[in-house]
Amino acid sequence: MWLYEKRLQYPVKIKNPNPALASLIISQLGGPHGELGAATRYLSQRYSMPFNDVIGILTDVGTEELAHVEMISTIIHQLTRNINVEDIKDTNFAPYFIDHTTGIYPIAASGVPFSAETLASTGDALADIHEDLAAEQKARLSYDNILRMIDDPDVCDPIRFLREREVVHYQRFAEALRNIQERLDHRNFYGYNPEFDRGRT
Amino acid sequence: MDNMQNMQNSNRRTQINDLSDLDMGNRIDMNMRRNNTQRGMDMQNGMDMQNGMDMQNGMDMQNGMDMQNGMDMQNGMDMRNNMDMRNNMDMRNNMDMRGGTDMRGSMGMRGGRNLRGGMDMNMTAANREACARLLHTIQMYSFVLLETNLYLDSHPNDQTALEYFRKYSQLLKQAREEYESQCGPLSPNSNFIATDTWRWVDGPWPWQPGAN
Repeated sequence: MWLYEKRLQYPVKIKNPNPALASLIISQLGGPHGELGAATRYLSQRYSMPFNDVIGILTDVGTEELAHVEMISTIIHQLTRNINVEDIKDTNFAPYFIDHTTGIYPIAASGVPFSAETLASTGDALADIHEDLAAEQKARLSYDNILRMIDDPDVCDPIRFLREREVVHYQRFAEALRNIQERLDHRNFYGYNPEFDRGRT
Repeated sequence: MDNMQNMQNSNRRTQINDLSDLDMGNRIDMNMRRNNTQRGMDMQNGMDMQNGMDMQNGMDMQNGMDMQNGMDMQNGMDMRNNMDMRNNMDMRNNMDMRGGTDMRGSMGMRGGRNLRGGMDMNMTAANREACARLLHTIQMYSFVLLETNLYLDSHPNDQTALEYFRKYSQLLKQAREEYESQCGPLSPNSNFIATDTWRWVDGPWPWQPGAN
């Protein structure tokens, strides 16, 4: 089970609102490479994973992604507080504002609401971990693209932190993949699915 | 979750029969003692009742919660129902699945690399029983604290509830220490995490056969 700690993983203290920027960064909450999908992906994959150390990685990374959901939500909130309609009217934040005002709603930068179709849980250790490796790279590139768009150091700083975490997670999943492969048949580790074909040797 | 559901359903029935019974302390105390006796709790294997849990003092409801002063048992904080979970949430049933615990045997391991189920494999049946019982206690205290927490969120100055929360916090702390010292860490933040090897990833995870 989970317990909440009343703190962010890394500080977010944004002084200047910028609703247009919020409508881009919100993709890392509800977009295809966002933190909500990441947490759901890893925490859901744990149950069929046949190797306890990999379950540990999925649990701990998935838990950290929940903390990232909170950080991104904080960034969006701080970028949209103390603003008036004039600040929004001519920005790409306006369509979001119509439905959600300045509430936090998981949505992609394109406007597509969060979808579980952006993640996979296949019941196959190899497929799941490859999915996770790709997901971390996709999250990393999304943060790279966000960093290309912004120059406010208050925003860059936590975004850089989050980008770095994607790199670290990728490394851990790479080790998980290595461990999984070492335990399967070296000559043909696609020969069976250990979650499903139990007892087969 | 099924257990929680059953617990809550079954407790709802209990509540109807026992609305007049406001002395929940005695009920709890009795439940716990009855369970301990019936299930033959082996004191030597881990549950030192006097130091670890101190049911008699800890659960002394006379100091705990005055129903008439602010705690609406039926709506706000039905502790009595919550505490009845011991009867309905028999974790021991879940323990009887140990046949399939050996991941190495069932996974068709070829490389011979340790799956790191280490702790689970080394535990004796008696330890498992003790761990299951301790975890059950932790779940009970945690749930009491959660319900009190929710109540306090909307009644932040209720001194009786505050005192109640403190009391169960202490009981939970003791139960956690006892569990973690014998059965492994409940979280990476555990005081018992830093042994000579990283036991956090050892099985069983909560959804696996043999989980406490």
